[in-house]
Amino acid sequence: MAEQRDLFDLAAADAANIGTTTQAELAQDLAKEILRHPSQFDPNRLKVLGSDGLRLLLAAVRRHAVEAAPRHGALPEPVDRGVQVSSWHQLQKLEPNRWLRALAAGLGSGFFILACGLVAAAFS
Amino acid sequence: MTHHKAAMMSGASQLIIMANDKGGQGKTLASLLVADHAHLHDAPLAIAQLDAQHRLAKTVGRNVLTIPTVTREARRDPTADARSFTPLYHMLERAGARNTNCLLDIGANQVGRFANWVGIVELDEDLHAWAFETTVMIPFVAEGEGIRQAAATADALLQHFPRAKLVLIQNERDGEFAHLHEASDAAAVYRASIEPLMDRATLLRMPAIAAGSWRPFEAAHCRLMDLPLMPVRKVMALTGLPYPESKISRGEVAAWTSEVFGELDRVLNWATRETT
Repeated sequence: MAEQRDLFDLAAADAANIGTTTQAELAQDLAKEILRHPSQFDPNRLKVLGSDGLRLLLAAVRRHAVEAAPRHGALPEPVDRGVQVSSWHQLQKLEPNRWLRALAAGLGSGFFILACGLVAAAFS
Repeated sequence: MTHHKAAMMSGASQLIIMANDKGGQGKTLASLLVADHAHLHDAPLAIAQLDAQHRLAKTVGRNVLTIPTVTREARRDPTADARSFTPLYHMLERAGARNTNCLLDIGANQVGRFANWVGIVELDEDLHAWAFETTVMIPFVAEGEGIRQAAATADALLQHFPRAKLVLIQNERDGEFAHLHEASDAAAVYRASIEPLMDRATLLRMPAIAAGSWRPFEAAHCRLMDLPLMPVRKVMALTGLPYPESKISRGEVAAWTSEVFGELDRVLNWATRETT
């Protein structure tokens, strides 16, 4: 008689599905927590996620990172005070415009050559 | 399905001997799987163990015959050790008469002692007379000494049970066997000692359970077959895990059990109540 075995297999498949769904939800929640308060997140909480759960968590974090990536020239996002203390964030500066830098360098070089020419003409 | 066929194919009593002379190879877990598989197939099963730790008895929760490990009297009287097996002999005799299946879990460092007794009483002849089909199951993990001892255990037992089916269970708890480096000791031992046995052995896979999922249930002496229908609140109470983690662990162990039962279907051919 294998009726009990069939019932077991059905119940096991059901429990596995519930477990997989819960794991996906938990991975999303943990990803949100990591992004919201990275300094307060306890990495031990990741233990419960299996390899599939960790993949889901990474995908959620990556998706958020792509959506929130700053455009060129934009100011960096404000971050947590706790993170700011122990990160490179405070050293981040707005990148200068390379066209303005080239124009300034060209003008500077022109004035320098002109000045040199005038000095040479004065002593000749 | 395979298990339907298995139940109708034969009414012969099964004797399953679970052994590996090295500890920590997954014998008790494999024995528990066999016991639960028998239960789900409505196959009556008598259980005996030669194990100082009594783990199977604690989990199965019914009368498990425990043969004491080396007795103090054995030093003074060499026949005392053989006499300690008498209850096992009676159990097998009764099981044969009632067409009941038997599971014998042989703990670490007990294979030599058991093989010695089997040789003295010529048990294989009696098992044949009682119409038992004997299966020797040997679990082992992917490390050199476990593999070496698995082969030695197979040799020792098959010498005394020449008619027995041999089932090798690759326990992937410590890694998959396919991933063993060719130059490693484990791979060399596997090639030298396990591959020659493949002609007569059936190879089963026992995959790794997701990290830590089974451990809290094992500590609470849970049976694998009870987990899928266990309410989450009870899982939480037994394991101390929070709500979502309880659901995840229960699902992982249930899926794993179902997969290993599928492997056992290939070799277990129980005498069931319908066929007796």
